[in-house]
Amino acid sequence: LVDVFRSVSFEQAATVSAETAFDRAFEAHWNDVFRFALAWTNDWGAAEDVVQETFVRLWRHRKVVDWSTEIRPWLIVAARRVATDRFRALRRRLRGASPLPSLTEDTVDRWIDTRRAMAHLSPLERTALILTAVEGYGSAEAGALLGTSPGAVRSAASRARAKLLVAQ
Amino acid sequence: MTTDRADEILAAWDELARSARARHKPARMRSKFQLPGGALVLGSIVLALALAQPLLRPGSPLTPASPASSSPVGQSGSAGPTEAEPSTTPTGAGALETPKPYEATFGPVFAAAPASQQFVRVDDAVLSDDSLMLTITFVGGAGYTRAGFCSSDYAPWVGATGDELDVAVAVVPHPDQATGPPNVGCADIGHGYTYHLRLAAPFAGSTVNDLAGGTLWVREPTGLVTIGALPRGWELRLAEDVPGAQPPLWARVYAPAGKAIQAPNLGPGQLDLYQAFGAPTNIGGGSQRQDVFVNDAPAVLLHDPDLGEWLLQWVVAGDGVALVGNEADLTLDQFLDIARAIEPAT
Repeated sequence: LVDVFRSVSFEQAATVSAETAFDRAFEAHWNDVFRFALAWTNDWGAAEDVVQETFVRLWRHRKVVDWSTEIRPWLIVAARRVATDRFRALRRRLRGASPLPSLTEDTVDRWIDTRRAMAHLSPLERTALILTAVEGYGSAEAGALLGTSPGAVRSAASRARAKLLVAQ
Repeated sequence: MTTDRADEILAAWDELARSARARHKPARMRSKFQLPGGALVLGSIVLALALAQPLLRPGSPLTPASPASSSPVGQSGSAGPTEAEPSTTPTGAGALETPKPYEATFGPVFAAAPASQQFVRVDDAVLSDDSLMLTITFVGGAGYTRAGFCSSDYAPWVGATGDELDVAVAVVPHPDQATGPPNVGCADIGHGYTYHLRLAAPFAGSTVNDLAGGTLWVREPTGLVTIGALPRGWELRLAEDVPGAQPPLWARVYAPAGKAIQAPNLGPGQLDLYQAFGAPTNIGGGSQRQDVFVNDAPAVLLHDPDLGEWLLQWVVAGDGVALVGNEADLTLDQFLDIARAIEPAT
């Protein structure tokens, strides 16, 4: 009986620790994940949904995630998987989510202009360019996050920049 | 230094994206004991419950001996809050009312019909090993309190139709629920609910119909197409329904033996086979479309050049079938050969 109580206590201690780690990850990386999701989807509301679902996945896996390593790569890869889930996109369409749920009036117009320009790029091109030119990742790191080769990242980023130069 | 058009767009993108802030953290993800010393939080809950006791409505899960006034579906006496959420809502002169819990047990006796015709979609359904307990999960609003104008009350319902189950999560209307001030909206916060529904008899079937729309399978459905050819060393690694898909879909994932598979639709290194029943699969895919034939049946092939993904959709004996592969693993000819080896259930 003593052993049972001891194991329960250890398990509860581990749970509290994982929850605290989750809270820290949420505070520290929400914007990182949002930026990645925004680059991939080019849709503000969809990006917020992707972040939400990504952190739900982290919460579900909180007891098996290796918290001793940096969690951001895990989150970015999970966000990519969520963003490319065609059924999530379908559910979102069926739900009829609002397109710009959390933008203020004075930023909506700027976002619409930026989104229009970015819409000339494919998700991979957008994300490759954002990761390398804005976030400062190397092509190898970006490739690991995007599930593709460094060469494909360089090529996509180069195509993206060329398309943006002529984007209206 | 000159700034080109691309840099201007990227700078604007960066500034806008930097301004984004998390709107909320779903309630289920909040730490239960964030304050130093969980006893403080637990103590406040105990105090809140003591204050709220005279105000608890009959049928509150905290008054198990009473019938559920808001849930005419045989809520079990074992229902009770499973999360120590210190959220209580003031009602009247400083009194407190405890929200309904996000996890509870109901049944085995359910009303003849759902509590209302306004349903919430069920995300998942799992049958216990003894086939006597159906656990459903869904996302809803904050746990109901009379004073909480953003809260919602849900009543689960189960009924049998032949060898299938019908399940519903009905929104319970409360005419006496508080209304919010003008021009004040409710935050778009999703709360995960888990309801355990006791069944009167073991359920031997596989199909659970959600009255909000959609089908959930608690066991493998019958009438699955067979796949007669796979890449060498690949095998079935996962079989499950696709939550929320319309029409309902059953997914099977094939991958090399030993490779970790978490879900369908994760890109290279796996083949995904989706099946609808009596309807086309209606799945979205890449932008490059090609019309082809699979065993004399017309099929649509979509290619996503960014992801290298092939998506082929056609109909086999009345059932929509979709096969997803990746050019990193297969040539198009190999992919189409696998599709041709898919045959109706025997």
